[in-house]
Amino acid sequence: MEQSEFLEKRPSNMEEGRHLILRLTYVSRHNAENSNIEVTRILSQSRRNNERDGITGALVINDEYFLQSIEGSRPVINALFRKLVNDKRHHALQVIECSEVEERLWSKWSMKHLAPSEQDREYVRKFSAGTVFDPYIMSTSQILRFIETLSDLQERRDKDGVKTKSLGF
Amino acid sequence: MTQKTSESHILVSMTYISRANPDMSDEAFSDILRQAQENNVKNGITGMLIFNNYYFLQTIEGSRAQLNHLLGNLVNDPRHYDLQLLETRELKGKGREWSRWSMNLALPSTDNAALYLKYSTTAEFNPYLLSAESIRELMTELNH
Repeated sequence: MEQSEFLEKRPSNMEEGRHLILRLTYVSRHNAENSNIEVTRILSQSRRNNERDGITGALVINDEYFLQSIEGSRPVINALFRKLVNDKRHHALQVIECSEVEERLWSKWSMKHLAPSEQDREYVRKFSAGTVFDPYIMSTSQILRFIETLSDLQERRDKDGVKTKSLGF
Repeated sequence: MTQKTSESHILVSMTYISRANPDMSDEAFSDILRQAQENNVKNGITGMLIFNNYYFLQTIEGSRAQLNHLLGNLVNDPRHYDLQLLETRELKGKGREWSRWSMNLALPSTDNAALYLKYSTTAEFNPYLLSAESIRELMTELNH
């Protein structure tokens, strides 16, 4: 079959599956030293794109790792995912969980930034077998609950107006 | 393949769909299958592949690190495009569904059209239109 004929008959189609909400959570290691400027840039860029594409999510950044949850229409999330796989700003990307969901978890945020603070060490311990935070050896439910716990803590602090010292662990 | 043993204890299942490149020959497809079977045996990966000349639908099972390494290669494999992940979940308790297969194969045909139609709105099998749940059910039926 001619390629043009094929493509006409079967176009790559963003419509197919777009009624499904997909949530995808991954972990990766960042490549560069993430200065605050770089983090700010990554966040503002992803928020702009996500707003345009109907994507919501949360991003945990510490000294070494990204932990990100993105949710949106299935073909849209996958288009972003294929870009992320080849994004040179991080490596060793591992999908932790990916599933169809009835409702979004992060619908209020185009990208909620979660920066673990010194006070959050106890939550690292809570979900880790060892003393060092290593998402690559954490189970799916440990990672998902860790992200949600950080989010809850941040909500509470924001409400109370508590200032925290942001530190990697 | 380099993989830290500390990362190999988590057993997961991944399901993805993709569109075959229009210029892919039957030989190329046989190569894909043979390659997958050889590599999977080596890497402790099992799974199931459905292929109907236009679409791939595949479930792979194995360690999270191994599967993600494979996924990275698959995303950039020029023999198909528009790869979409439908599901990734940790296999707890019940374990693998395809433990007997390094890569089982099913080819939709007129003989088994009813099974594919059971979960489809269209006469022709198109996994891009199916929910993850329908695909899970279809896969399970193919396994029995």
